[in-house]
Amino acid sequence: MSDCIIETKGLTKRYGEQVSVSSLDLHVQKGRIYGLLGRNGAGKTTTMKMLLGLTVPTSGTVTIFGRPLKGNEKRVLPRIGSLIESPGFYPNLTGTENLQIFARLRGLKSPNYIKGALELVNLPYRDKKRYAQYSLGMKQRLAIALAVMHDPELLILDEPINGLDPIGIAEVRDFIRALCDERGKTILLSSHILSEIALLADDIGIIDHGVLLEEESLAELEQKNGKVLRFTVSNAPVAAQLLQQEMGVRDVVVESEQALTVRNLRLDTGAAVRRFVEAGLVVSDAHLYEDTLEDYFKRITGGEGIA
Amino acid sequence: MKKMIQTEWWKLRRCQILLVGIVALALCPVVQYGSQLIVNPEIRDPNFDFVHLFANVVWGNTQVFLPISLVMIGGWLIDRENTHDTMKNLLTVPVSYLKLLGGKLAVTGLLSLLFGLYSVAVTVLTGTLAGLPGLTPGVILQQGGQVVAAALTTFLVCMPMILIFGQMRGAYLGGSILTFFLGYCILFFKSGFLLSAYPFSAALVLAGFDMQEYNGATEAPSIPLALLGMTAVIVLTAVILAFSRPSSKAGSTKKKKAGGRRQARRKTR
Repeated sequence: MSDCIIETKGLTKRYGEQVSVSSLDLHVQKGRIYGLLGRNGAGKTTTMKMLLGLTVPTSGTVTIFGRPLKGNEKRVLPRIGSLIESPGFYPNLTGTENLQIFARLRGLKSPNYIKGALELVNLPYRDKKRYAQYSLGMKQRLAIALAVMHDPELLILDEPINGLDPIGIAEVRDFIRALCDERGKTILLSSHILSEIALLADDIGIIDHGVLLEEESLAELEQKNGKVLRFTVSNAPVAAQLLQQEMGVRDVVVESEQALTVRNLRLDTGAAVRRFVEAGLVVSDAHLYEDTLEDYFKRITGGEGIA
Repeated sequence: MKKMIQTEWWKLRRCQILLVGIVALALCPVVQYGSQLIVNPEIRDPNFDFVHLFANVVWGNTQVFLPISLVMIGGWLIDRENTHDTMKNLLTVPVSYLKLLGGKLAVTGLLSLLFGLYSVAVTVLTGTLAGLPGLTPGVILQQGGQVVAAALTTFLVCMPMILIFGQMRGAYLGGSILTFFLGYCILFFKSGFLLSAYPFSAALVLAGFDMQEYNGATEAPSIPLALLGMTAVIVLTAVILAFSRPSSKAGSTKKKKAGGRRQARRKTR
């Protein structure tokens, strides 16, 4: 893929015998939101840690902004803002004091950086409340403020909505969307909450047991989602026979005595219903169902759903 | 490096662990003077004055109070980056781990200097309240200078312990106890190689402390051997720094989760 901000090749992390991430080929494109979706323990955080140099990969390469991360940390990392797992700050300091420390380390001299970042996440500047007294939501907001304070080109956010209340979740969602749309930031975010990824991401990577199963744009995934026509009739086997023999429909599945599904969407639903009625069947329902992203997730991970 | 030291200094705001040093160094002159009062009147020093009190404070600080305080505070400064999960934020700035440790050592060194000055003030106050004779500007300058110098050399001796135990999660308390025992061992070296080269003895010798007068040394200590002992400590510190790597658990919240389980267990009791 062209215009990749992040590209990994065969990225693997093993802890002894256990493979946490296996041969990951990830592509995050400029100016887009990439959602890394997976269950807890799927390897999302390990992947993000490797992208930030916090964990050394067992094998494989990470290229960010066109440079290999290894050996270019001082050039690459200052252009990234990150939030990995839970927020980590000094509990004896206030939110502003905490940000002052990192602003100083990043060489940001103007207090406007801190002020602006706190305003973005709706936290007060120079508040006297210490970090230890913050609620979980405030801590998460402060972590987001830290990630965006230095106006990075790329944001790597691991479960950014953790601990936020519903209003906070909506605010952070809008804020992330605006960062991408209005400021052209590239964002890689992970979540185990499928609806969040579906609402935010332009591109989606599905990771399971350390393996990247799918990597596509949301639009492509939606196209791939299966559509199913479901009939409820008085005698499903007879209806199935009519569809197959008289109307040439192949993908017919009899689910029960009264229910059957058809995957062939070229079928003229009106004609099918008319034929059923002519054959003396009672048609009580004909409905088009579309697979949700969750159905798709279940199908490709071959197992349980996700939150 | 200036940024590192400055930010490390900022991190000390409202840190209660500093009370360890403040209380310990306030106790030192009180304990030293108190020990004079509780001995039998026959062996009590009738000429006990400010010079003696200062000498006892130098001894007590280096033997007990500073090793405990400096290793606990310095070790905690390193340990907290993992326990407070801030290491990941520092490493992604990016901050060099070597510079981070260097900054922490520098701040601990600065604290030892301040503790030294504070110890001088507390000693003057204690001696004055006790009505000891011999307080002159010259004594404050000379003996006080020795207290500060010994605090700095004691810090140098503690550096390897700070680095080792600070980087082992939650071990800084154990490290400070071990350092206390190591400091206490000066008592056993009255002559020979270890009188001068044993690092804690070297800290006293290099600060100009009279080992024969106040430590009961049976021979005069050797400055070159003391320098050798101190050099060995500094080389060891450099080697530890060179081989130090950030914990592979940077960004891991395992400890917090464990705490959560403990709390949950407590709640269910």
